[in-house]
Amino acid sequence: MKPDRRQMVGVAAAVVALVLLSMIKGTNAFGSSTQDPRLTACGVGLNSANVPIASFELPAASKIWDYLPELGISPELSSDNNPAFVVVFQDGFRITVAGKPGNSGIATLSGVVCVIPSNGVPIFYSEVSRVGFHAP
Amino acid sequence: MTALPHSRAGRVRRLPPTMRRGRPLQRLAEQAGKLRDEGVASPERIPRRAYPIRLKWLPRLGISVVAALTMQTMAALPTLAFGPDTANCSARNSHTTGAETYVAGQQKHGVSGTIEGQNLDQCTSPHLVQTSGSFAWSVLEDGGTGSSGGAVILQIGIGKCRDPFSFGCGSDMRYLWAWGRDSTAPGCAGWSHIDPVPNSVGTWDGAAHDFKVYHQNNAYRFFIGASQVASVPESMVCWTPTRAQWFSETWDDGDAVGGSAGNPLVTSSTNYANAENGGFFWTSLSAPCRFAGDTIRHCSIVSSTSLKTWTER
Repeated sequence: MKPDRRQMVGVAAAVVALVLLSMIKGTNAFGSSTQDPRLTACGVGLNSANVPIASFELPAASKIWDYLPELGISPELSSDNNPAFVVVFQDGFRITVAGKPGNSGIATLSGVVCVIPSNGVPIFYSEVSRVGFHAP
Repeated sequence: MTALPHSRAGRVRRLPPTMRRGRPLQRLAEQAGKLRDEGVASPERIPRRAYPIRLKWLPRLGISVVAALTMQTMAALPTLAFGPDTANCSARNSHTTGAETYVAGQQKHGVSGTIEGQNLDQCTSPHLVQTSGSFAWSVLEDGGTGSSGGAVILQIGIGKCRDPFSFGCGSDMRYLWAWGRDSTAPGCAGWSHIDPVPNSVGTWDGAAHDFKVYHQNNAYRFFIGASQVASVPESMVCWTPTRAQWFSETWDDGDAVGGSAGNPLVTSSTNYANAENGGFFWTSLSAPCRFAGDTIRHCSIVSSTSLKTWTER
């Protein structure tokens, strides 16, 4: 049976809307529902600028310097022997920040590394050199 | 020889039913207008048969999207041309403004202020990708050292914001807190850099609350009223807070700092602590409330322990 034209138009319009939405949000509109929620928590899919280079789990947050030797002093990680999830981003990561007037609002950051420690609250490090970086 | 209507490239199209039946479009339009005037039908409910040609939905959709984008751009033009607006969102995302006062002089271990429960104003007619927001905070900071200036901060307060790059925004009133450290700030050489990404906490109840950051028992603790809602171990803070500060800020020209002239946003009972686990002292605010931005947003010291911020709108 030939589909009703209005149905076809409706389906086509929905597809176009999804594509447009994905262009605006920078996400894969068809696959976002299956994304690891930890990636979402780190800003993957938040906008098209947030492109991950690598993501991996660590048996202990304190092991992060084995893979990102240039990450600076970070007591919150060095003293944490619980598992952590790490996402390393391309430069150009965009996120809004609080802070003082003149420095708040949209920030475009380089060297962003998101770490989700065992408490589940992501920490965003920026200006991290990727010299010596390798994923486990 | 006269060409048949709707013919193209030698192909003859069937006339739409409305035309085949000889029902003039004018009459249909009048009929639709009459129904609308009588409240019987909305324009959307005009029978599809009234359209003279077959729906070419895809080109029409494309044209609509282009038209929408054009209208968005046009909507931004008055703001760009005539400066600050206090209603419509501007195209200048992340043009922040703020109004502040502070207490300095020695290391600060606590800041507290009662921010009234006013629903803050946010710009309207947002663009496709819009960052905007209005906030009021109690803040510990170091006076703006470090290359990124405002990142060296511990803050808690209220805000309403929207943007596609944030975790803490939702175009509704929220309690927010944030903290940051900057590897270029004194005491932070060799440290990693953390930007103050706002975190949403709790549910805004519309009431006035005391918002406090307090260095207590080896951690910087964030309070709403008597409830601690977050904390940062002092071992994570490499910089030294030297200012207890209260400020309002916005992210877009169309947002209003604080309240309005008739109903300014008041922060009262401002006080601060000079020692970890130490007592709090009332402020003696007297210095001008500073404002960085334009001439329609204001800040004023009301008394030794209160300030108000507002925007002419």
